[in-house]
Amino acid sequence: MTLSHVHLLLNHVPTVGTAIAIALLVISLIRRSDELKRVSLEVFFVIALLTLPAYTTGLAAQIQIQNRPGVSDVMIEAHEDAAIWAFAFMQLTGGFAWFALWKRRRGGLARGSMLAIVLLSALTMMMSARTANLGGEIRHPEILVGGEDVAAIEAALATNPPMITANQIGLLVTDRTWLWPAFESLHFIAMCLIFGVVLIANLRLLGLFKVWSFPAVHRLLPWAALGFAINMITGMMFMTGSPGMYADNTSFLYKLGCLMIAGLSLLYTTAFEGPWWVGAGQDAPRRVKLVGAAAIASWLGVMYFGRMLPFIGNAF
Amino acid sequence: MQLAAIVTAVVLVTVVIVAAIGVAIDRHAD
Amino acid sequence: MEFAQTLQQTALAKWIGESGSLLGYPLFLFLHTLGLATIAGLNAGIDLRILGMAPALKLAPMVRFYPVMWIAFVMTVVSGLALLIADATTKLGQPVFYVKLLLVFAAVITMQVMRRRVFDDPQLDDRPFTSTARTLAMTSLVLWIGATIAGRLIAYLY
Repeated sequence: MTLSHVHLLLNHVPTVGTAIAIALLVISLIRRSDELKRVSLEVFFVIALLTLPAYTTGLAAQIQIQNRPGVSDVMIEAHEDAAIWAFAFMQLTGGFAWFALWKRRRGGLARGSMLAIVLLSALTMMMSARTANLGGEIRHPEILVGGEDVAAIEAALATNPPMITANQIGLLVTDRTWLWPAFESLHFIAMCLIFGVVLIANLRLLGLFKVWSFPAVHRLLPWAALGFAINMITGMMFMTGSPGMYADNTSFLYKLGCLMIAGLSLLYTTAFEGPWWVGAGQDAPRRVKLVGAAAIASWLGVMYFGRMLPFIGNAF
Repeated sequence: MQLAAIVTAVVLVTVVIVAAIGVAIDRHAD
Repeated sequence: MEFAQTLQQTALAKWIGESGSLLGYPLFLFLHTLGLATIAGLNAGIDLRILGMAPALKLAPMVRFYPVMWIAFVMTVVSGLALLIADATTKLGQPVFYVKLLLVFAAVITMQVMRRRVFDDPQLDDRPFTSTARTLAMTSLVLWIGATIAGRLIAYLY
């Protein structure tokens, strides 16, 4: 199972997954089901989370199949350029979904976020579909409609280049010597913010600081989400600027794996019943403590494999 | 030296902007 | 610079810097990062609360972060020493390294001053936080951010 193979599996997530999530949301509105609405938000969040490895395995796939006969390098680039937009909108959708879940857990309605999700998810769907189509044209002759050939598409792209390309972002990062250290600094600062809040929230679940109810601690979670957002953006800049360092990097794969667990544990502590009902002075049930421990462990993993990128992996 | 100054400036400006966003969200959150 | 060279030539320093073992330099780098994330992260939690975020969360219980923050600080110092001796000739010649040490020192002092001036008040959560508390909180944030930037710049300015 190569990373290209994983990419072909995961790339169904942003397309099919988003469609399913939108369908669930629509059904929840028709049926006026609060529970179903919550589920659709959770699905949006998980889809956005899984889009991270979907994107990064794409970089690995690119390195693996570019320069082969029958493969269009121009289409690969067009696909990647489209993917960046789809990715950005996907993460925005996922971010609003998280915030809506957080607010609704606390008894709010999150109307603004719900509206944003309706709009953003539609845009994400369109962009994901476009990305997927371009991806197919890299090497799926049966989907080229009406006998167009790849050369014609390539010519069209040459005369009408997209607004922002992956290459441009990459050049931005490598041309300006201050950019990488600045973004790394931001990455570390946001890491401290994430870890501080994660420690506070999950140590409470594990039994420390019992004087606080979990809902009181829950109030801090958006700061962790903010840190997460900053690190996703700075992380994307690193990946786009120097894809070779990450695409095939074992340590980066482990970091992503830990990030998936970290994201899921964040969802659990944000939206699920178990943590929410841990009151002041109360001990959390065992399965809730397990998630608390897993959350801390997964973020330790993210930090460890992040730091090990040049050592276990081939970065720098 | 110049690199350090630019990096510090860029990071601090970004932190201030992000912090403002964070505070706005926090105020709005209750 | 002779002192730096002597340090770097010790058996310990050579093992850390040159053995290639994941338990050497890489491990100390990780522990240093973990220590930073813990002390700065928890301190930031306190600072944000003092500055008015998450109003439902009582500040007084956060005094129990201090033992964790001190343990994290010790881990950061020990790992930092290990990293230093492995590369003493470079690091001790970098101005930004001393800037970082100064900022960390100041941040930790601020943390301790906060322990006395803010957390020693038994009625801490019964009234609005004092301007002293808020000044300390803001100072703490700025110092930790500065220390983090300086720390990152060590890898780029030599």
